[in-house]
Amino acid sequence: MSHLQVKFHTKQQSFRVSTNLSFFFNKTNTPYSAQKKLNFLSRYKVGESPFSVLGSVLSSDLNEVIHKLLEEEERLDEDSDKSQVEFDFLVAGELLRSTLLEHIHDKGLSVESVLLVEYFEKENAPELELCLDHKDWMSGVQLDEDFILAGSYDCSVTVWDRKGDELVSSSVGHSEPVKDVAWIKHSKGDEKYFLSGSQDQNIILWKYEPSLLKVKCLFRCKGHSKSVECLSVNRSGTKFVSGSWDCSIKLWTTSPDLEPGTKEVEEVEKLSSRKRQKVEKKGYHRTPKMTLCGHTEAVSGVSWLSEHEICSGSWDHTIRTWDLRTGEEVSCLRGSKAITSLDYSNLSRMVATGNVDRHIRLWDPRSEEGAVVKSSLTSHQGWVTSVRWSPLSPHLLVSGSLDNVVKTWDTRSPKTPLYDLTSHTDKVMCVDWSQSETIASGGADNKIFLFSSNSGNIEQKLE
Amino acid sequence: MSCALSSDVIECSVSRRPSRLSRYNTVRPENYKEREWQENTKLCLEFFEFKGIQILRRYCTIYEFKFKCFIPGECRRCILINCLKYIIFCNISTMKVLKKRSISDLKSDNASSKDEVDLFHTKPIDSEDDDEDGNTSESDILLSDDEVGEVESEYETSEDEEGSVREEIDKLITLEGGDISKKQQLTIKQPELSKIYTDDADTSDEEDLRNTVGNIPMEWYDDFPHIGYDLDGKTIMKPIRNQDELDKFLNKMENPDFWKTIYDKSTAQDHVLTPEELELVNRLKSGKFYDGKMDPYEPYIDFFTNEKMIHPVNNIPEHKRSFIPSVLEKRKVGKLVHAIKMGILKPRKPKVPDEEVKFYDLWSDNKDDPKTHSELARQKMHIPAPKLTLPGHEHSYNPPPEYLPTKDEIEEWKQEEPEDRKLNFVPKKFNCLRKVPQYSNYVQERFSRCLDLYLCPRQRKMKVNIDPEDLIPKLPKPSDLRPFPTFQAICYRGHQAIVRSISVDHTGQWLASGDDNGIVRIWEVATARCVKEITGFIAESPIKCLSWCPNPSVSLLAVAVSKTVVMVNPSVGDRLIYQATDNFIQSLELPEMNTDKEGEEDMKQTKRSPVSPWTKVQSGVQYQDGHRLLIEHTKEVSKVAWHGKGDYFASTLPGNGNAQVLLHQLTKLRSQNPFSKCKGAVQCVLFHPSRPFLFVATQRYVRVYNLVKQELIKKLMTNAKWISSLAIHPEGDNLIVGSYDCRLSWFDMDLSTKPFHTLTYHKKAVRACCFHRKYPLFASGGDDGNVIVSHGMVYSDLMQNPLIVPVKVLKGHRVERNLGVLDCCFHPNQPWIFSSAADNTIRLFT
Repeated sequence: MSHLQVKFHTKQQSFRVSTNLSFFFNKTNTPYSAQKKLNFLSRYKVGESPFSVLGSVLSSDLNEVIHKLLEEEERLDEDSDKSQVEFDFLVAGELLRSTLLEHIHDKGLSVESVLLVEYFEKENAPELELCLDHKDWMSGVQLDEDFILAGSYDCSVTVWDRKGDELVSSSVGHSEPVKDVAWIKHSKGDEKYFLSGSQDQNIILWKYEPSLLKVKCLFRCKGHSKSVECLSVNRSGTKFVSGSWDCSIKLWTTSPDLEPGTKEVEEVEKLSSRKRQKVEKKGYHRTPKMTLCGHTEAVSGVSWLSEHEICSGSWDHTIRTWDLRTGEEVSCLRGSKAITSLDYSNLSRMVATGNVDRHIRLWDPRSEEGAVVKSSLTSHQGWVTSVRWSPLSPHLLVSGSLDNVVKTWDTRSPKTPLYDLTSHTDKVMCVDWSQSETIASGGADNKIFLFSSNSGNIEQKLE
Repeated sequence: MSCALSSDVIECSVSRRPSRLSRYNTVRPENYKEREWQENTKLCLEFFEFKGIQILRRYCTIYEFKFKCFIPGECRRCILINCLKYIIFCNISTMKVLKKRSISDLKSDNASSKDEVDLFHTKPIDSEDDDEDGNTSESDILLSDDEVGEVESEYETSEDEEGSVREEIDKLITLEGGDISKKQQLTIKQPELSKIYTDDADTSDEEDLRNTVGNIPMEWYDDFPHIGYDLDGKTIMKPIRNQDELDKFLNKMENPDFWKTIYDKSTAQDHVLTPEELELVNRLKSGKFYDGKMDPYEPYIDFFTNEKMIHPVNNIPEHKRSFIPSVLEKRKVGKLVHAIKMGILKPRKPKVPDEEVKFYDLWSDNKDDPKTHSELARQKMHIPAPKLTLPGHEHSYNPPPEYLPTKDEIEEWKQEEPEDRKLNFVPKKFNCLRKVPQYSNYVQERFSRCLDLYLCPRQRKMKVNIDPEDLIPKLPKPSDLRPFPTFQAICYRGHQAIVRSISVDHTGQWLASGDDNGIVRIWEVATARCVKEITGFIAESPIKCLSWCPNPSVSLLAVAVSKTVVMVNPSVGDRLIYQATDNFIQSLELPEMNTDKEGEEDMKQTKRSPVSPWTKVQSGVQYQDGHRLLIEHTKEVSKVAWHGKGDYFASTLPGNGNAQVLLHQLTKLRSQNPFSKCKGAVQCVLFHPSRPFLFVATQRYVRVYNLVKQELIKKLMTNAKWISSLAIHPEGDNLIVGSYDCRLSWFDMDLSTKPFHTLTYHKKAVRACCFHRKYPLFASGGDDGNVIVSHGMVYSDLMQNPLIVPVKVLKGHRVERNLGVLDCCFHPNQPWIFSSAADNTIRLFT
């Protein structure tokens, strides 16, 4: 049995502890006691001297070690909760999921040198908060601080409050299934604005008045010639882009007011059936500010990189970044598989894409050299339909797949997800993590599940 | 060296030994050969055995010696030796000289009396002579070298005396038979001789001479009063010896010579050993030479030295005749030369080798004809007859018991057919070989063996040494041929009956499928959402085939149900397009039937072609469902196939006589039967993607027609029993044909009308096959529930053959009612494949 020298450290610091390690060794009789040299510094900080451990230790064993060490320090007495705290161990930039020796072999590290093991509090398992039922498949979901917005295949857009009560559902507006929804952050009083894109080629800018429990179709954004697949609103909430099956990306404004110079068009919607022929809606049309053409197939994901840059993923296997000021394509990253979903994280500065070959791939949209795919997360058994970064952590993301599973990932553990959320009984169509404490997912089982994610809480607490 | 034996006289010549005296021997006696004389001048008297008697070995110069045997049995031990100077009589048993007489004495005595010469018959004289004389005589016979030298020198000088010596010896011999009475005279006249005798008087030899019985056991005479016979044959009486023990004792005590007195049996007398005898005994006892004067280390005079001498030993010059050419030879040569000249003597003829014995070739047809090439080849390629198997234990007359069959086995053997038997006889056991009966099948077996040998055709098999690895074509690894579909991504569930046909629209967003209940569903490809369910077709009749119109500006789906082909606008995708499609169809005008001449022609055409006119669906539930046009047929429509432009499409009506294929034009709403005659049962038709070709697949052949020239271009021999499906490469030069006998054949149209490659990976019938529009992929689905995806790269280089590699077997569909995958089609843009199956599902593999 080979022994490894490891050194522990953590960046989470709130306590200062000095450890008498020799005492620990003498006292315990655990298999690693005699061979392990650990160095704990953390909020749950432990001594810096290296430990010698067996190569076959798992992260649970290391976890025990840390707990023992902390017990020795009497750190945990102050806060009884801490005794339940689990730690995750980061070795050579990757979370320890197998035995330490295998992990090191995979990484190609030497067993001779002292390993620096970083440890931190493990993400708690997301807990199921809410289950929202609907009539049809859920195609898009997004959370606000107070509301839940979801688009469905029954052509409706529904708003729930965070307690799970359905507040309002727009039955009119779209004539085809809604494919994506998005909130627009406006700071104008009580009113809320949101967008919904649909297969009927329209994007509707809605106005929601919580006090009246009413939604109103403000603008009908027309321009796409095929179904709108994805929407993305910029950080300030002034503009949004949409990707569509017609291979184009269009830029729109979100302003609720009539823009000067645009024509006010009254539209009469006629349904095909003569019997049901009636005037349905009065509305205003809005035309795109810009159309970005370059993709050769359906654009399945768009995301804002900055105020003037967006990136888009498409079924033509490419990720393209666009400069909105010039309307030019800036770069194009070519993959080998069609992209079903795309999200960009400001924290990690990485683009995550869900692919049809069951992988989640991480890309650096700004890098030109080297491998374009920085990492690929593999565990799903079906197409990854949706992927979203955590708003707080640069390492965390959530993905939904056709294999009915929502997974949370730490990008440092590409083979094993953090947690599998198996509440869905049918295909997961959309996930959302725009609110840091809640993960939402909607699927073909007509349900939206909300999971409370406490990782954000911890971070916040720390802050 | 010669030995002659007469009745009385033995004459011997004696071998010679090299003598140091030979250097003086320049003259030799005539009767000796020159060489022998040169080599041996010193005579060596070898002992030779004569009737068991050892003779003598003495070195002396002996000229001649003779055995004289006057009375056999009495005088045989005597030898007469002629030493030129002396004549010596020896007793050859004792090597004692009996008589020695110089020749000169003899010569002198010649004159006196012939009678005196009888030497042999002298009576032994009692020892009255002194010992000294005897000793001298002894030394006389043992000739010293000096004496020999003297002798030789004498001989040398007295060569002419030789004749007289011989005469002397002869005289001696003639005197043998002389009167005994003369002995006395001789003894008297020869005092020297008598001295010799006296010298030897008390030796046993002397006794022997008196007693002639010879060397016999004297016990034989124990009972007689005599002890033997003397020379005269008178008995010798035993001396009176009546000594008792007392006498013996007294004798012992008193006689000082008692210790050296021995009893002589032969004479029956006591004998006192002489001092010489004692000395001899002592010498013998101490292992020395019996003769004290013998010098074993006398110096050796080497007369044949290693020093080179100036003169040869024999310095005789060469004879004159050795220098003179031989006259005889000259004459002989002259004769031969003359003979050659005259031609009498001819040179020897060269030896002609014996002609080989020629046998008559019984089997050759004609000897003179040279053998043909094939005959020679046959001889050369002679194949020996196969060998018979060697007999085993079971063939033995006394096989081990385990080879003997039991009764049951014999019964079984008898019941078996003779061809099936392992052995053609039953092993039996016999005690001994002679009890073995004659083998009854011998002749038959030999006969059948002969038949086997000359009736059995034998062929030489050319064995080719090929590494089996080389025979396997070098195919690239499937992993290098990516992308291709590898796993099942989405399953489209919803149909309640088997899905016979699927079709993807040109954008790849929508999938249409039709099931046996007559329901067409439109699916969103990415999410497996069934967006539309189109009903309203003829109730309960299965949807045989559906196909999207490839024209991107038209949203139409051709659905073959029962006897009609329905054009459906599914109203998905681009709203502008499907609305435009509706408008377009509205704007179409049905061709007028009975108005003008053209109409009449149309009538004729319609009469020829059993196609009912097109009808528009203007309203109603069917219109709501999207039905736009109906094309009625007289028989069930099995397949519809669009032309690449999306204006024409063909429908197949198997078993409809000569109108099995109908071509329809969408823009003119017209139909026509392109063939006046239709061979076989048409299975499916296909348009060439770029050229005006129509592929018509009957059961076994695919015919290619040029629609413009209206002629048959090609007939592809598929080698299949029943074609099920056709698909054409988007380039248009390659065709795959699936058949119900599990094959998928690839045709290179430029290459041949026979399959370029045949894939037989399906276990059951191939139901559908398809090409990918963009990727070099093709696939086939079969009744075994599998979809097999193959890489089929077609190179623009005409010299390069297409690369066909099966890359993946996609499993997932269940086989129900022996039906598996019924249709498959590739996604237009992605390397994905859809397959519909009898388990009511459609699956997407990516």
